[in-house]
Amino acid sequence: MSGIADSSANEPLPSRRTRSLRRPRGGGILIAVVSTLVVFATLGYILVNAPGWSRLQESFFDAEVFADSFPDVAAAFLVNVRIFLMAEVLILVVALLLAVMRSLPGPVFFPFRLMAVIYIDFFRGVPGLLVIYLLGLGIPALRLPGVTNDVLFWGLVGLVLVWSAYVAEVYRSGIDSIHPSQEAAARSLGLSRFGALRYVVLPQAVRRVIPPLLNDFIGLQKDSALLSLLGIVEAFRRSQIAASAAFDFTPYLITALFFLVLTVPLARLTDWLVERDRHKRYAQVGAR
Amino acid sequence: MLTQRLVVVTALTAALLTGCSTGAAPTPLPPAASPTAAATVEPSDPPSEEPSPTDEPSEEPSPSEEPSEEPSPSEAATQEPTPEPSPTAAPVSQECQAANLSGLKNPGRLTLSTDTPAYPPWWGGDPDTQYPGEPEGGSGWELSDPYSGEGYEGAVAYAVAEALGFTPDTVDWVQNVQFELAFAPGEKPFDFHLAQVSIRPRRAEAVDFSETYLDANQAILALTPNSITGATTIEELKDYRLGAAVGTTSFELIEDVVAPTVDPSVFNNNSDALQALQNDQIDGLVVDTNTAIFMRDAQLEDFDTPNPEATVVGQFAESDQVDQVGLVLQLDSPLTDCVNGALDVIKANGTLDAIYEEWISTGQDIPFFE
Repeated sequence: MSGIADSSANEPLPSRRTRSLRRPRGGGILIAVVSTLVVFATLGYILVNAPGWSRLQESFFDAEVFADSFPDVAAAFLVNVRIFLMAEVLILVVALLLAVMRSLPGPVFFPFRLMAVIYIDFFRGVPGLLVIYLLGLGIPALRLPGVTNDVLFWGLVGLVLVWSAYVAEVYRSGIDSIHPSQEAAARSLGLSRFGALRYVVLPQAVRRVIPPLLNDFIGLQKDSALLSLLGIVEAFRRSQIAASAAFDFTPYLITALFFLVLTVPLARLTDWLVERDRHKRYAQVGAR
Repeated sequence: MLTQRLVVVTALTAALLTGCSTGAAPTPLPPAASPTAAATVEPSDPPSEEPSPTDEPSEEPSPSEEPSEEPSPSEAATQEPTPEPSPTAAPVSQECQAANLSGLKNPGRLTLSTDTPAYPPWWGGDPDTQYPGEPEGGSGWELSDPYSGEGYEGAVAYAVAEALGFTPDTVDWVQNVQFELAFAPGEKPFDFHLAQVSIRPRRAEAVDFSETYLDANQAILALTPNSITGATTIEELKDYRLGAAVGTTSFELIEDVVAPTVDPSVFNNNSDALQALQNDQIDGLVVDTNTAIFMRDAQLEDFDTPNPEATVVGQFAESDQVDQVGLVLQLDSPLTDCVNGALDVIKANGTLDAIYEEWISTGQDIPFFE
């Protein structure tokens, strides 16, 4: 906040992240290059000369096994993508409802706040694994007429239940971070309580919580592997199958690479979005 | 997670080993007193009904080792306290005798490993019973107790130990909590591991396998109100939802031999797969024939109503896929040759056949898929 007051020109203050990643000037570059080389060379030397290095290499970095299982794992990874995309959309909606429920003011809404709190406490506390087991293999065991026993459906429900509890708290922290004067101002302009939430509080709140939302999204992506418990052959399960066929852990590496390839660009994109938003807002402040 | 498990395993191993060495003073047998002195391997009970626990581990395998020629006492195999035919075959070579063996985890003692939980009919015994050679406070295994020497693999393990000249109280067991740990890189915590691990050329690049001690073939288990029970050919199986446990060659069979049109399901273990079968989430569960029979008779037996009823729909011929099950040793282990020698001894003197007769049902009444 104070940054805004201090910045006299249009130029916004660089964020801490930008500063830390910025290339050092002059002699700094040389020092950075040398120390980087020394550190990585030392680490590499220790690794390669470890007595079990060749074993490790065979067990985790076997090129032949990698090539053999790559197409299978790649195909299975599409299953993960489908799962977490569907889940993410639902989670964002459900979690927002929960967060709003939890933020409702006044004694009238107490039961709603209570429900939201119980829900969030429960599903954040229970291991996701158990929820998915219970829904995917437990509910179908009841043999209720008209209730599906489709594992993909129940697996998705499980993911949404668990992750919406986490995400609801992220939303709530965003909502709480908006100063009450914002709502007061909105109300004084004639907006209803809902209108103030919808047009003034939430847009600011959501913008603030985009980085932690991305955190949870990445967590969700990896949790999509939990659905393998129900028999679904996704990337992790496919790797496991390939690993036990060859007695070699390399296939897991492929799954890891796929997740990395997905999450790293996503993280950079979010950084960029946040930075751009920051520029925009400060530019407005400066222009006034 | 894996490393965590590794740590746990190592800790357990250490605990077990120290427990043992304080408990029973190692008394390596003189080489002479070995294989001819027949048996005593099992405290020997009749084939014995196991508690009927959950099910079989994430591994494959199963039945049929030539149950053909059976040495002398077939009655002994099932009833007498000390079965085991007395052999005339030559014992293992001098350098393979317990006292001379090099490369043991613990000199003078044999350290073996299997998965926990350990399922019948491969393993037997009661985890709460204190067996000879078992550390104070029990073995820590679920469902069965490898120190009992009961069950097919339990008996094979002690027969091999005996052929090498180890008495039962010089045999120690370490737990393998997850199938994959048996082939993790680095030093193995065991001299050999047995958990119905199928021998595969690619696996043999990571570990040593002994000769096979069992040929297993696969079968399909289903619950009766389901049209899959009428299937008699592999072709007819293609349209059904099949499932298997991960890490098993059962799943390889689904993909390579049946090649179903519906995506097959893969479960962490056979308990989960069995639950999915009961939930009608899969039509048929592929497991080795002996496990299928065990599941049908012991695990799926207690339905209140006549339906659903478990049936073993059929089994796959050896020409479709046969699993040769072998002992797992560290890659390039100096023990591999000696263990093979010991297996040769128990094959030649009929011990292995007797063990087979005692613990494994033959499954001959189950039709083969065409």
